[in-house]
Amino acid sequence: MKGWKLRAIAAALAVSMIAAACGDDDEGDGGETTETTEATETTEAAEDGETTETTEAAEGDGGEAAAGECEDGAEPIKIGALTQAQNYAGLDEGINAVINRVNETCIGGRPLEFVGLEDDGSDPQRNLELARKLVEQDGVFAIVATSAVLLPATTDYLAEQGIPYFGWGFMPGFCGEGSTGYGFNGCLSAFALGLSDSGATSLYEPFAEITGKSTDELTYVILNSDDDAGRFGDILYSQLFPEEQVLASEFVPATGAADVTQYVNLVLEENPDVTILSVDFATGITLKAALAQAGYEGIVSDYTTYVPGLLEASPDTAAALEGGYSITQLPPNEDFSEASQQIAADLEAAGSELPFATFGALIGYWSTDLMVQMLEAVAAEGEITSENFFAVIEEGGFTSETVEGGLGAVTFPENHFEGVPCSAAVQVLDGAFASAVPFTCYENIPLR
Amino acid sequence: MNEFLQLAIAGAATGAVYSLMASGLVLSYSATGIFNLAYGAIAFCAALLYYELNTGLGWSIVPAFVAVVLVFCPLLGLLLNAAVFRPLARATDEAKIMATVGLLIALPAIARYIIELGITRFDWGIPDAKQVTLPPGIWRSPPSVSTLPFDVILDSNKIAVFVTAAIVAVGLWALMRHTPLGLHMRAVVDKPDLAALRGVDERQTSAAAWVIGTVLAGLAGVVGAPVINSLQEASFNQMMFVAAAAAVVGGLKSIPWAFAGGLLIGVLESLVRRYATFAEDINGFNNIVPFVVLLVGLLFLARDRGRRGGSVVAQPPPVDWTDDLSVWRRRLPWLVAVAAFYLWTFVFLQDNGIWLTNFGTGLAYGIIFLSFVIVTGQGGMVSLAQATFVMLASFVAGRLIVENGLPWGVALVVGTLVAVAAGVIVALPALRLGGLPLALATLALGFMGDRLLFKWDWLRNRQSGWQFDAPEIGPFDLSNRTTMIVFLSLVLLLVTWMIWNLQGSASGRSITAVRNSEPASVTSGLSIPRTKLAVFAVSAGVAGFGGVLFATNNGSVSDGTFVTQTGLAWLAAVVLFGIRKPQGAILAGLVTACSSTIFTGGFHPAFLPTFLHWDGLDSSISTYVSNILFGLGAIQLAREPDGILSITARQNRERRDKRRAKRAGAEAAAPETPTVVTEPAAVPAGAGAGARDGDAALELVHIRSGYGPVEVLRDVSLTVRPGRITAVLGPNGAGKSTLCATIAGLVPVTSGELLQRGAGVTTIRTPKRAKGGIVLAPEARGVFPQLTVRENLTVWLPDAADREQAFDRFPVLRTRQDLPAGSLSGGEQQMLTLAPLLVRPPDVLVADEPSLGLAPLIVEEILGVFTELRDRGVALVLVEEKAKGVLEIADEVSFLSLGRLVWSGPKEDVDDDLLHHVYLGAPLGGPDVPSATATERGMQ
Repeated sequence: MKGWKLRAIAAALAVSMIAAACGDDDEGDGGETTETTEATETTEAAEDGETTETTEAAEGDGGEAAAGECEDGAEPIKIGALTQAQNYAGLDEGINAVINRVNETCIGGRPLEFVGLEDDGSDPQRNLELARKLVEQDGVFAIVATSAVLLPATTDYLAEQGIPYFGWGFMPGFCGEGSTGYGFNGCLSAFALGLSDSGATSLYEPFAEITGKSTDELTYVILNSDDDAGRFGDILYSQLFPEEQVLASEFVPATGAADVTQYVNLVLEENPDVTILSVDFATGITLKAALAQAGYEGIVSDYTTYVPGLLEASPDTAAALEGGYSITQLPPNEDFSEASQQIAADLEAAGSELPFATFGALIGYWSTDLMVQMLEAVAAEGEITSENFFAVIEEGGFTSETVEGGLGAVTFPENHFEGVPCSAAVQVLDGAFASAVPFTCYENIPLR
Repeated sequence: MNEFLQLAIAGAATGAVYSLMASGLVLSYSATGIFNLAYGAIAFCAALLYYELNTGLGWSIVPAFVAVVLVFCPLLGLLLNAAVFRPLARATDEAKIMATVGLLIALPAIARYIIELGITRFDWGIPDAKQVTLPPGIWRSPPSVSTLPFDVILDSNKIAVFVTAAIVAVGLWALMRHTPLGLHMRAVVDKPDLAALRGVDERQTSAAAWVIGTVLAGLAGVVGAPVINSLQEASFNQMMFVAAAAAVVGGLKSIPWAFAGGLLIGVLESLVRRYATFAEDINGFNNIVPFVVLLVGLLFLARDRGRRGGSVVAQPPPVDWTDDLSVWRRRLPWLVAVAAFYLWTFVFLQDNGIWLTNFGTGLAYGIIFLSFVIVTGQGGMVSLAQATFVMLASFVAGRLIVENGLPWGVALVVGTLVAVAAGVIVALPALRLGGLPLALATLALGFMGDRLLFKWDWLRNRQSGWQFDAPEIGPFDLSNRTTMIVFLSLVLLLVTWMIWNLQGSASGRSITAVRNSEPASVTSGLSIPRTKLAVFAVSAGVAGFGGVLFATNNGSVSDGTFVTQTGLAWLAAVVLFGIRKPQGAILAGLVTACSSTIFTGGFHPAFLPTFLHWDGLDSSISTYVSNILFGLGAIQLAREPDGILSITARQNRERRDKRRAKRAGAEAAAPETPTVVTEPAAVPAGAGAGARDGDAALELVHIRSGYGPVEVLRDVSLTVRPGRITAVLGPNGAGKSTLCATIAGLVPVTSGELLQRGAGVTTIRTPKRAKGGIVLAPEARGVFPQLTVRENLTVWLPDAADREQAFDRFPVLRTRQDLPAGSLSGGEQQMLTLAPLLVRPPDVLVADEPSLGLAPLIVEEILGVFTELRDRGVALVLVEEKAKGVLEIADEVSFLSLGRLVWSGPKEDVDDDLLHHVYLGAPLGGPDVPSATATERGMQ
């Protein structure tokens, strides 16, 4: 199943690059006031005095129910998580960090209750079974769902049951009419699903910043994995990048490609400015190390290896990635923005022992943060029920609030049909990630 | 050219990992007859342990390597040998395959579970190893890169693999060719019984083979992990399946060829990837090279396999442990269970969607699992491709419904038919293969399905798969879960009824016949290809049919729903509950579906008090626990083809029997056991039966022995003195060979005693008996045909000087010393059998038909050897059918007839009358020799 698993992960990650998540613009000059910061203030206030003024956190027009006090005996809003634990270690800690913060004041008087994290072990059938368990046995209201096997079998079921789910929107379940999935960076497979004709410039803009060249003159070699994601990525890239700038494009076997000699040869021969690796994790690492050792001097970048925690866990991996770049849709910790400081503070307040926000923790954090914003919006309008939820979000429309250095605004239902085109670039230097281009929003442009 | 070379060498590095595994596989298979499908799982455990020691606990490379490869692996090998493999030694091919499948499932789960427990309960402070990028190598960490001539780039991990592989190749060659252990292993492979008769202990060679095999697996795991760049059990399993292809290149018996096969596959993979540009647009084409090799290799291999389809040691039919009960009592438990099931469904579960879904899933699994009952339980063939049929049928049905808008029923029929067609295709190799090769062929086809067919977007609708809307069929609205359960129950009943009918029908009988003996079936006019094809096709059809129902109940099917390895877990589950009866499969289906919910979600039925409720396990742990349970269960029950159900039934029967016996005992003074009352055979003269005789070299005292329920020797007593020749004569079927085998220890004694020089040897095993001086020269030449003449001698005469003596005695052997013994003439082979005995005369020599099929001149020479041995003080037992030659040199003569010694005495007393009596059943003058009764003949 491993080959399959790898492919699924690769699929997940590669498809995710149809668009990229977004924070503020590259000046980083503030953007709007932040939901999270306010929430923290509320927390502090709550600690100080008995009663706290509701900040203008939510939409504000819902009266005291929006945020403020927890009501004694109020029924908790149950939240579950469904994931591939092996790829998202720390997901529950990110979720708990947000819940812990929110529960100081509750939402519509009701606290959030995290019923637990279910690990699908990368098995789609199990993913479906666990979704059923969360819904029918645990009675959750919403789910944080991030898994490369979150397939239509599961998402159709969740939609049928009226369960909203939140996560990294790289799977098709976050897209299209009738979806109850909310990606914190929108629907990232819109192009693949034929929902959108645009592609995100965030896929290549950071390269211009790194090299100092214009995007019109950069040359590329693109290596795609030989699987769904890679074959689809190939189509996307061929439409997004000008033909004459792509010197070569090849498929790399998706299962256990131990031998990368021929691809290293290809890159050395073409010698492009940028080599883009859109392959599974393990192959990407092997390729990066091999290219560096073969003396290739251009930029090697992928879209997958910004995984906070990875380098610390494996010095060998850090060594293999040294000097290489990765373009990420998550605001990197290394930007040291307001957002990343907030996350660190929330994690600590929730008693997390993570030394920093891991990849899984970041995904959990941003997913839950979006969920909370939506729940607050619903609470502002009335009681929190499944029916009201979709009425407020889908019919009324919803736009998320942003924080400096955090994700960009996501708007629903629009972002069921398009991703949010933002990204940052990080480089591995001396065994640690370092910010190369801070998290920036670019644009979606029409494809050829 | 450089590129070609670069690719070939880089591919060979991966290939070398396959080679390491393949050589271990072949070694253990040929030495023990068990093809260890769990080999990848062992490699995985070793690699995982190495990672935890090296990266997790910070041990440096050398101690970590030593701890894993030289300590952990040998211990694991010994443990597996004792707990799993040795008990399987005489089991059927299916049992062996199923047990190793169980191991494949259980072993990685155990390893993962231990790590999880260590982290959560005992604070070991090690990484959980769920996502390891770059597993550590054994040389440099991080790996360094060297550029060799021709611009070949190799990193240190690959160089380590090459070096390891080279060392192993040389080491194995030296071990097999130049050590006593290697010689003994090859002797056991060649002729296991003869090896035992020559003092080679199969237990020791088997243990040694598993230790070496496990060490090789561990080596492959540790040095291979960084090369295949993974620490996931599934990638190690796939590596093992590729290694199986390499092993097949070596005909499953040649280590050098298996080694070369591994390299070849590695190189092929690398070259195909680069040069098969025509297939660039075929998703997954690059990934199927090893499986094509496996399949093609098997087709060629099939040619010279001696044993054939359903090479099952003829299995007795399932015992009905309930035949003492009335029909009503027999069916009652099932009726109660079924009633309880529906009561629960309709009364307690009406608002519990999750359990209703589970029951539906369980019933759908039940239908799928019935296909195992057909192909394995009844057909005696192990198919590892059932998941492929399931997926194929559901994909086809899904496409027809969603894309083509066909009605559900039509899609169900077409999907099933496609599965039947696929079954026929799979069965084609099965026509020539049996047992293990067939299992491997189905496995190869399964993987080709996973990697190629089910990557075909037309069929699978990309990653999303097909979504089924539950249809309405007549009165059944299947979107209602309860209705679905009723519907699935009816279908299940129908399929079960079909299987029961099949069992009792003419086709069922031909299936059993083909399974038990192909040659016999052919002579009975059965068409083997047709029978096998039919079995496979029906089984595939049932699997596909169940697959469509499963997908309907499930709401969807996608390429990840099931993979070939899921099918292995299914097999384990069905084996656990009994693979020969439909009930077992149905129960397995329900348990499979429900166990996962119970393990993760706990158990909270409303009608039970809360203290009996259970909250379940963490979802990742629950997977391990259920894998461990199913895996270990399958290992235990692989030899018990009727599974848990049969064991329970047997225990109940034993309890009932005991109760009945007690009751009977109370009612009447207990009559004797109904076994035949022992009546000592009339022995007119000489033998001194029953008395311990210190002078005797060998004494048989009231020996009874036989094969299971069939008793062959009945109360045989015989005394053989040193320096005397005892001829045991008897017609065909008298029990002569059984007598020899009993003396040698190959057939166990059921009652009576065997004494050597007055000391009891009844319970001493064959190799030890041989070493202690009781030597049997078996019928049809006691030579190892695959070993050279010299090696044959070496087994008995490890000392070179002794061998020289043997050559001096039979110079013709010297001139042929490097030829395989199988190429010698019959007389030369008999000389080779006897030569070592002349050099080191045993205490007792038993020769089974020593003159059979030999020219008169040679017979004379052989008899000369026997008299020479007698003169040197050896006690000889010559067992012959033809009296003529032996009588000339015998001192004592015994006649064996229908398992009894009917006459013993000095040679001088033997006359034609006696011979006529023994061979032709003519009445004898004396009244004291009873002829065999009619009932005894009947029992024979």
